Amino acid sequence: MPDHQDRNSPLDELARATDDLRPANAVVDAVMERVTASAASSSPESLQTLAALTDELCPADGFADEVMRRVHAVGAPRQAGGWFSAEGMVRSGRAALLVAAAVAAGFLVYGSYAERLLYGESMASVAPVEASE
Amino acid sequence: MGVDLRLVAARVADGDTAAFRQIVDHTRAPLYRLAARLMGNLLDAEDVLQDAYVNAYRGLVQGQYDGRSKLETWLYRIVTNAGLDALRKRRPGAPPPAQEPRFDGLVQAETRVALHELESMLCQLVPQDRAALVLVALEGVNVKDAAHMLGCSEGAVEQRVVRARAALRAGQKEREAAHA
Repeated sequence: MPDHQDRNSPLDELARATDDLRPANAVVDAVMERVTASAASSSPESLQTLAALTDELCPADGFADEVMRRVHAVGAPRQAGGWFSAEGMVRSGRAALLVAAAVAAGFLVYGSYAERLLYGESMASVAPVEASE
Repeated sequence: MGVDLRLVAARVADGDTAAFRQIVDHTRAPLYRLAARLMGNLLDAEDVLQDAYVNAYRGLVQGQYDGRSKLETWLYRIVTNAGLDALRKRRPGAPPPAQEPRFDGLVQAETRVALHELESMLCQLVPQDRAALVLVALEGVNVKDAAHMLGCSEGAVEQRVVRARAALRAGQKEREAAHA
């Protein structure tokens, strides 16, 4: 805008006359065609330019949170090792001990019962012999 | 002072799951960049990278990382493989996903446009050639490490990069002829 009071100078008239200049659609089309052609000029040399332009790529902080959420969801996979270190064996170890203890107790009870039975029967069979003697 | 990620990896392998966060924090930027360049869009990059991190965690706990190479190199390999799997599943000519990425808050508009241009260049390549080109030409990985990451010989990597560059030049000539 002219900064003087008189706005009717030839220059101002020309300025007003050219104020509404707009490019024709054909000009816009031509510019877009040039832009498209420029983008399509994918010479291998332009790889370096694209490499530089994509150098700053970095995910937001929430990305690491999402990764950790997925990692925790996966949980610690079973480590490779012998059959004795397998997860199932560790988890069922307490139950296995209880079962083994119960079986051992059963054997003891049954053993003492069988011993008493055998003792009783042997005493019963010895008694008539002693009586006949 | 840099963190020795091998020591952190050892802690994770010993059952310290929370220590894995340190690995993610130290590697998420370069690995996100690799995944984005491999996939050509941020949504697929996020999916690939998350899967890769979960696979890496499993691998650490199962003792698959022997500590001989840098942890970053091992992670690069896992991300590259996850990206290759995803690229192989992608239908040729499929449009980019319509869904918005969730963790792209720090990515500038200029970077998104560049990534879109990169995808329009690389979509014509087969996945193995694309991965080799991304690793060597964009990530600056040397051929020996790239061969380790892609699970092939150094000669095969060089061949793939040459083939990819030739395909890009041919594609460019075709486009120039179409615009002429």
